[in-house]
Amino acid sequence: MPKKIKVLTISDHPLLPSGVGTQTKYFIEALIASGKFEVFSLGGAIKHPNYNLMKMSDDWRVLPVDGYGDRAKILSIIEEFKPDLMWFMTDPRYYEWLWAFEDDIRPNVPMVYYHVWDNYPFPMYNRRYYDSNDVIATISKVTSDIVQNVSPEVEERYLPHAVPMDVFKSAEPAKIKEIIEQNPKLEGKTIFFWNNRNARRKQSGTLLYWFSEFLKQESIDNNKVCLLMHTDPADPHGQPLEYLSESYGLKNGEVIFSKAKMGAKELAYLYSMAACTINIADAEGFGLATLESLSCETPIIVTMTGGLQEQVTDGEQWFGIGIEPASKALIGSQQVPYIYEDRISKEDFIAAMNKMYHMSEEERNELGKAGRQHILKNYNFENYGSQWVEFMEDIHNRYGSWETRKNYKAWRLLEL
Amino acid sequence: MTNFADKKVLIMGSFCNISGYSLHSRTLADSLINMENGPEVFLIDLQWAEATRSPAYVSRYEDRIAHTQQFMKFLQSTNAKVNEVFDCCFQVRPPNEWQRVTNFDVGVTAALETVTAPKEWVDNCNMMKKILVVSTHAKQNLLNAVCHGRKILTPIEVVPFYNTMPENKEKFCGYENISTTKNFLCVSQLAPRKNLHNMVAWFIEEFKDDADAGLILKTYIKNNSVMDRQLTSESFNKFIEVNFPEKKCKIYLLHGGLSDSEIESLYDKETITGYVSAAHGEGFGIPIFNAVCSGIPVIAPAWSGHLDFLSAPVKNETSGKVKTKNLFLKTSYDIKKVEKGHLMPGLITEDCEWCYPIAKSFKKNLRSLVSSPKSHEKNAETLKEHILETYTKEKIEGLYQEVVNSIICGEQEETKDGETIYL
Repeated sequence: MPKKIKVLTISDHPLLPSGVGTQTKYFIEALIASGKFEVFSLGGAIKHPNYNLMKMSDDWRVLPVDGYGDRAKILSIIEEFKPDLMWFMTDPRYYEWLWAFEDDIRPNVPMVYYHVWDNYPFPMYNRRYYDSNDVIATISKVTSDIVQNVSPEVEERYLPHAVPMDVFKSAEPAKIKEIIEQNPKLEGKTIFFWNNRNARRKQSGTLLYWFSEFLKQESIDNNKVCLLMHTDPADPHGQPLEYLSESYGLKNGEVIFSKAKMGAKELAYLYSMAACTINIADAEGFGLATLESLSCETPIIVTMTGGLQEQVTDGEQWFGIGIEPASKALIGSQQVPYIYEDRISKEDFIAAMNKMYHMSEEERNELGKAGRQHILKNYNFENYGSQWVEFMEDIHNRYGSWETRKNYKAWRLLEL
Repeated sequence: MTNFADKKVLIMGSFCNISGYSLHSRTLADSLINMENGPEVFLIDLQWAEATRSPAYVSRYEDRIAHTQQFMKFLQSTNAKVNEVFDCCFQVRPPNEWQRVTNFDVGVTAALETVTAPKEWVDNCNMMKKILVVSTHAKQNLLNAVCHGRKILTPIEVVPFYNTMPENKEKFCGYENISTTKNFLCVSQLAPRKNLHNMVAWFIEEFKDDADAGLILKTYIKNNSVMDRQLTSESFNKFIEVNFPEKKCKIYLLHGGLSDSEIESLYDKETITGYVSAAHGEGFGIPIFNAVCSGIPVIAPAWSGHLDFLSAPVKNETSGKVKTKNLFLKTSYDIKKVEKGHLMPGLITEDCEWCYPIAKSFKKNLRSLVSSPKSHEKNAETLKEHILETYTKEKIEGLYQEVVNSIICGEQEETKDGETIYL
């Protein structure tokens, strides 16, 4: 039996319900299912209830760590586990400490970074991070273009997120009926669904305000439309949504908050009930909720930014409405010197809502069905798994590890 | 020879990193490991700042380090005392980090590259039973230290490095991209003590219109990472763009991890006209030593650790008298206080002084080496022959082995007049 390829992963704890944790779990499960890999995961979080090594299966162990670990921990695990590949994921700002000693890792172990960056202009300040990897897998087409231009010397491959389409699928009408009967406020309404963290960049407050403006139109029957927000309205990172909702006079079931945590199956019911899923974030690397929505055959209204734009259209066909930004402000911080923030206008938003609202159910269904085909073709969960397996095997063959390490140049001679 | 197989020696050092202290740790460890009928050697591996770990060194020492870890755990589990188990402990690290571990602790250090070691070191040095340093400058640096009237009384011995340069080296493949023929090499960390920016400025000022002159800098700030490379190149690029936008001479930055044989191949007489240093001080100066062992002429300040190996006995052809002569291009210097921005709490303190090489003298040496290389090459060859005879692996390992021998055979004390007696 051929020797299994050992992979050390660093990411959110794979059992956490975060987007990063979920995608990490999908990735690892695909590797393990292939029978060709053995995985040791450092499961990151701010704090864990306990730090015991978890044996998930014969080929997969998870060690909970604060943050994403530290230099001493990484080096000791590398010396003990002797991985053939290191795979890590999430925002580059969380990994500056890791790249600061990549020269201790890469002579033996190739580093594979799974990366998403929200927007242009090309973040040249990320070059020092990008150049510190052997391979960068990119989650969105925007990120792919960015990495190719910022660090042309580093191998890049576009490998977008995926959803399990057997879970995220259109619910049976009987099931929808059952849920609506349990929630009479939803009875006979066109439901606009919003499933996001209540955070600044998601524009949750703007959405509520513009939704109230949308309702003021004569052509809209307020009793037959609602905005269902699956979020924590009191999230400390966002606005007080219940307060805003009341302030805008939305007191009669026009806005409904779904606050309880729920599993993927239950979430799929909500997508299925909705006429449309909205995401008007000003920055969105990928946007898993809209991907899940399309998988459930529910069309989407999104800002044409980041990864959302590749979901709403494949370049030829549309699976909802993409709203072009009305302004591209160049914002930033000490760590991120510049990045576009894509804001849409109220007028464009209300026009998109009107268009979706006045569509016939058949038209929306048609968009939704085409959307699921788009997901099936381009963000298929099975492909996601098999592509990762094939890609990781290929990286191992081309870059080697330890005694077989190749295609790694440790030094450069530059003329200044 | 006495059999020490039942004796145990503990060495604490950064065996797996790429740094001067790490080479020092390995030199000592290898000397004792190679000792015939020597003691059992245990290694506690320390991380040297943020320096790169070399896979080759990790591989060379990992079994012994792992064995030591297991042994220490076993000692803990049996409540055994470390000082009763080990006959002595060598601690290869700066004196402010030395601690009492066994009944015979030996501090091993390059000391400080200033005139005087900080007063904070005195008590730690006196905690040791013996101190080994790499140069007479390092020894004097410790002897100059005073803390509230107290001086360092622990016996200090000088044990330098030995030549590791092979007689025949392969040419460094990176040199294929060097277009200049008058090339100077400097292998050094980019740190205030090394004075690299001034050295680069002086080089450019001397050769600014000479497109055939090149300075090869093998350097780094903290380690060999890509991020470090970008910071290092940015630092020099900005400096050159602002100060010397019109320069024609070439500055090459060589950054990253090189194997031992690649490092050796940098010191290539065919490519390198001279080795240059404008450092404020050296404990020993390993790269300068490598240049000497390769027969490459050296330009360096006439002060600090490297002076030990930059002179050789030379016979006067007329009188037949033999005199020790400096065989390098001496750069004049001033001794002045360390600039405030270069102080390091607990190490380089406000009272510290080091040397400031004089630009005019450094540039004159550059010009001299380029315009009349023959005489300097002859001196370099003479020096090389002498150093290869005197700084041999056997001799230096022998010195370390003698130290262990003396410790195990009987604790030694130094009398007031410096004579060593055995109890």
